[in-house]
Parts: sequence; structure tokens; C-alpha cells
Amino acid sequence: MGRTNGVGLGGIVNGMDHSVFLTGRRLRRFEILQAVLVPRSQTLSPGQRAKGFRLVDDLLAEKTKLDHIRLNVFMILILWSCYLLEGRSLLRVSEIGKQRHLTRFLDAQLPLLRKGFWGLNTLAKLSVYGQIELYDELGYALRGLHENP
Amino acid sequence: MKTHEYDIVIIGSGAGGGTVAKELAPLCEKGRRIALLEWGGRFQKKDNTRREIEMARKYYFDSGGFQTQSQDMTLAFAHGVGGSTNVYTGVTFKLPQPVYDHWGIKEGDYREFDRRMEKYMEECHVHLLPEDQINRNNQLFKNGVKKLGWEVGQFPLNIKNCVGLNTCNLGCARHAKQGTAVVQIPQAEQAGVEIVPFCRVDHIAGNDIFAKVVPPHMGLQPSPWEIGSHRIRAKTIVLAAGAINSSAILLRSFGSKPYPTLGKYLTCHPALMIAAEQNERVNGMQGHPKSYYCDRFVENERFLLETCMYFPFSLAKNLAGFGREPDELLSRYPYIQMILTLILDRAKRKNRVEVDRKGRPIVHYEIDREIIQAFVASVRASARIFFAAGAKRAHLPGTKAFFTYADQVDDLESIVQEPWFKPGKVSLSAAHLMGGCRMGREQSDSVTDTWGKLHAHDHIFVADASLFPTCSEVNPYLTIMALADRVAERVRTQW
Repeated sequence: MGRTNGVGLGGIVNGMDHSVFLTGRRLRRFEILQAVLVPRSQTLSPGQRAKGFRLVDDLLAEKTKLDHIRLNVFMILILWSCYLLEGRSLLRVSEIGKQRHLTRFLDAQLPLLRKGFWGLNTLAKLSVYGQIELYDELGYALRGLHENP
Repeated sequence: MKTHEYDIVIIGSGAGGGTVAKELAPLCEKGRRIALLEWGGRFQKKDNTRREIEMARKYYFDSGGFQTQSQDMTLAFAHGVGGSTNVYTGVTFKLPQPVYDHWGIKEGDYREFDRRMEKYMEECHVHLLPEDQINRNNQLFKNGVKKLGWEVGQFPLNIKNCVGLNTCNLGCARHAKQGTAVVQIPQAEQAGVEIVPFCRVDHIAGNDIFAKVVPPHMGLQPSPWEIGSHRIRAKTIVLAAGAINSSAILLRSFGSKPYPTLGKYLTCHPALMIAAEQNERVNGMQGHPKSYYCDRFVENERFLLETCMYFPFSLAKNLAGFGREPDELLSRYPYIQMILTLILDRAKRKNRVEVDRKGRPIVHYEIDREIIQAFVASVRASARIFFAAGAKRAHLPGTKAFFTYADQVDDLESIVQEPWFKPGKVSLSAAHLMGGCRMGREQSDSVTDTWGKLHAHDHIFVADASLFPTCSEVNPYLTIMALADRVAERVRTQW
């Protein structure tokens, strides 16, 4: 994922009145993590990606400022610990290294790290699989309202 | 602040409140004034758009993201006229007699309670779905269970004119489920009960209920009452706001001093959704999602297996992992089979509802070793069903790898293990919220008597799942209706 792409989308999201969390550096961090957590996000069009961020922002709008701070700190923790443990940024580390680094959080002994990761992972999944426009691609075909069983 | 006067006010309109409203409605003919207050809005068919995120925001508290304090389980509970009956699947189970006996409702034996359940089964058009309307996701479950030599049961469902839209948990776009919004509340309204959506009760003081009416959201019809604060005076108050909110309203009203067990002994049927990929097209997203169950493990291992089918984000959220493998599984949606495991959790004092400094409900619930052991056993049993039904691979929480393959079926004991089943990593949700205002004999160990009347407040009743002294061990709505029927009978004696 290129930096330009991220900044461009940041611009789209920043331009929305209701953006409460995914702006500036927070959006950039989320984009980097989203790319590893849900690789399908990289196949979305700019419009779909912006819509995904809006879904996340809408959900976070119902959360407290403290929740926002926790999420941001957690994203920083994952990204900075990658330098320490893998010797490179998450963007530049190999695919195996990315998996290994994030699995440290997914499978952590410390429940707090697992729960934080679950929250972040859920938001990343929301930003992609929360979009009904993807249903066709997934083969998720709902029956029509007046179709016979 | 606007003031209103009623004879009877019912707070909450789900399986409990909707039933009480209908049962007490004939009193309106005698000139009694009855109001039914509901936290959420009133849904028409067109409001149920079947879009997952939109409907989660419309129906569920915290958009379906309400978590326990320890943040390792999500609690899904709904608002809206009809309460959680808007978003259930219509699965209708009678309360098992051993559970009833354990609850100690001495006034009237099980046959009497059974008659009440039968009454609502008839009223809600409960029946078995014909074989030709049962979809492949359900058939595969049945095939797998039978192949293992286990017994399979079919769920009676309360549906009418169902075309198998499969989005029951997002509200039915055809109003095929015979929930209280479709059956009981219209009857109550016709008889004169006033329905007040978007009315959020804060607390009760004496005979006064303090509530706030809020603007409608997401295109729903506004409340008939003006937006702002309201004081509603009622001679009799029936609280049916669900296990979390009934407890929270009473805690905000009285604190926990008069009732030492208020909010406590919460049970919730902790649940886990498990998915597998079949070699054939399953198309589980078409047809009613729930037809079969397997109760073989209820007595000794305390879990129940049910068929289920959920939506893309719900499935993605429930997969314990990240990266290409979850993406890959989701790409195979037409081939996915799903099973829901429900743990029949024991009522423990430590599991409880409290309110924070702002009066908001918070839930403490510990996923203890007993629950984890039941989950691990339920994952192994589900895996056996999947593979017996022909699955090529399954995503099993509590394993090291994301996928487990068919040729590993003999090694499930070593593949699915307790140390790898970590809350926080595994996505758990609460299927049915029960307890918090448990009924019983003494004020020291219960909140209400066995007719739902608060021990120390003669004009306040509870009529929802918060009355359950333990979990019901089955999907609870029919039990709630039968209990609410008893509560209504008791209230009628005062009028």
C-alpha cells in the first residue's frame, strides 16, 4: 500500500463532517494495519475504502473519547513494537514478519493485548465486510422479498 | 416536565412487556388507562432493510457492540416495539420441566405452566417447517448428526408466510415472525393500550416513572409524545425492559440495598459461531436459518448445538484470526456451513449488572474454566458434525492453525485444546440474557416473588427474562411469555 493512496483517502475522509476518529495520522495507522488484517481491503475502490472508513467512524462516534485514545495508543503500540521486534516498520517487513508480529497480539498471554487486538481487528473487518456492495463478490446472495421458497 | 397519569404502565415491549400489554388490555374496556413505554422505535416492514450494519444500528443497543466490562464477550440485545422478538429467529422451546422444578414456582405445577406455554404456541402460530422448506445448511447438520449416531431435534418455529429471507436477526422484512410487535401489541393497541416508542425510562420514585422521550432515529416514526422529560404516574408498574435494563432501572431507582441480589446471577448462554467449508454449494443464506439442534451434551457437558447462518460482517468478526485465511473463507460463502454452540451457564452471584456513575448499565461476567471447557467440547463436537456431513475444512476456535482439515478428524482432542481457547482471541457473544431480578421466596436471595412482584414494593412487578433464577437451558422467549402471563394474572387481581 502506498503512502499517496493513504493520504488521498485521508483527504476524502477528512472532508466529511462527521469524521470523529479516522483523520490524519490515525487514519494512516489504521490503513497500514487494515492492509495486513484484511488484505481484501487493498482490492477496494477509493470510494469503497472511504465508505469503509465511514462505517468505522460511525461506530466510533458512539464510543467515548477515552475509547478513541485507547484505540490510537494500541495502534501506535503495534506499529512501534514492530520496529523493536522485527527491526523494520510494518510496511516494510516481509509477509511472514507481518503475520508473526500481529500474531503476537492475537495470541498474547496478556488478555489486555488480545482484547485490544480483537477490537482493532473487528474494526478492520467492519471497514470491509460491513459493505453490502461486496455481497456479490462473496457469493452472499440474499433471496428476493417476494421470491418463493 | 410533562406529567401523565395511568392506571398501569408497562416498561418494555418484548416477549414479556408485549404479553403483559395484551393480557391486561381488556381492562381498558373498564376504563383503565394503560401505557406501554418502549426505549426504541416502531418498525414497519419497509424499515427492515436487511442491511447488516444499518439494521444493527437500528435495533441493537450499542449497535450490537455492547461488551462485558472485561471486554471478552459481546451482548446482543435489542430495542424497538417488540423488543428482542424483532430479531430472534422464532425458535420456540418449552422450558424443560427439571429447570421449572429447580426454579421452585410452587404455586401451580408444571402442567399449569405448560398450559400457558401451549397458549402462546398457538397464538404465535408455532409449527414445524415442512421438510421441503429446510435449506441445505440445516440438512447438512442433520445428516452429520445422524451419521455420528446422535439424535437430532427439529425446532418448532413461530413463523407465518415466511419465504426464507434468512435475515431474522436483522428484523423480518415480511413480518413473518410472530413476535409481540406482530401479534400481541397490535391486539393490545386495538383494545386501548397506548404505545409510546422512543421513551427511555430513567428511574422510578414511588408511583412516578421518570423518562425522556427522544427524537426518532434512522427514519423511524417519531413518538406520539413530545421530545423531552416526562413524569408518568402509575398505580401499577410492570417492568419488562430485559435482563440488563430492568436491573439497571431498579438499581437507579433503589440502589442495591433493599435487594441484595438485584442485578446478580446474570446468565447469558455464552455462544460461539463456528464455520466450515463444504465441497458442495450450501447457499445457507437462503431459507430459514434455524431448523435443527442436538441436545446430546446438555446434561453432562452443558452445551447445546444449533444450526445458524449469519451475515458477512458477523461471520468475519467471529473468525479468530486475520489476514488471507479469513478473506479466503469469506470468499467461499455459498459453500459455508455454520453451527452455533450455546453454553448452559450456571447462575453465579459474581456475574452481574451494575450501573456506573452516570447510571449506565455495565455487565460483569467471567468466562471461567467451566465455560471454556464446555466451549472446547462443543467445538470438537461441531467439528465432528461438519466432517461427518462432508466438510473439507473448518475454522475451529481453540486451535493453533486457522483451518482444520477433514483428514484431521481423528485428532480433534489434540487439535482443539483449552490453552488455545483464549477469551479475547475467540469471539464470544451472549445469546440470551437472563437473571438480575430473580424470583424466589425471600428478599435476601431474590428480588421478586414467584409472581414477579417486587418483595418490598407492592405496586411494581417484573415480567421478563430477568426473573429467571438460572438460565433456561433453551431459547427463552416462550418461557418469558408464560411467566409474563402469570404476572398479568396477578396484576389483574389488583384491578
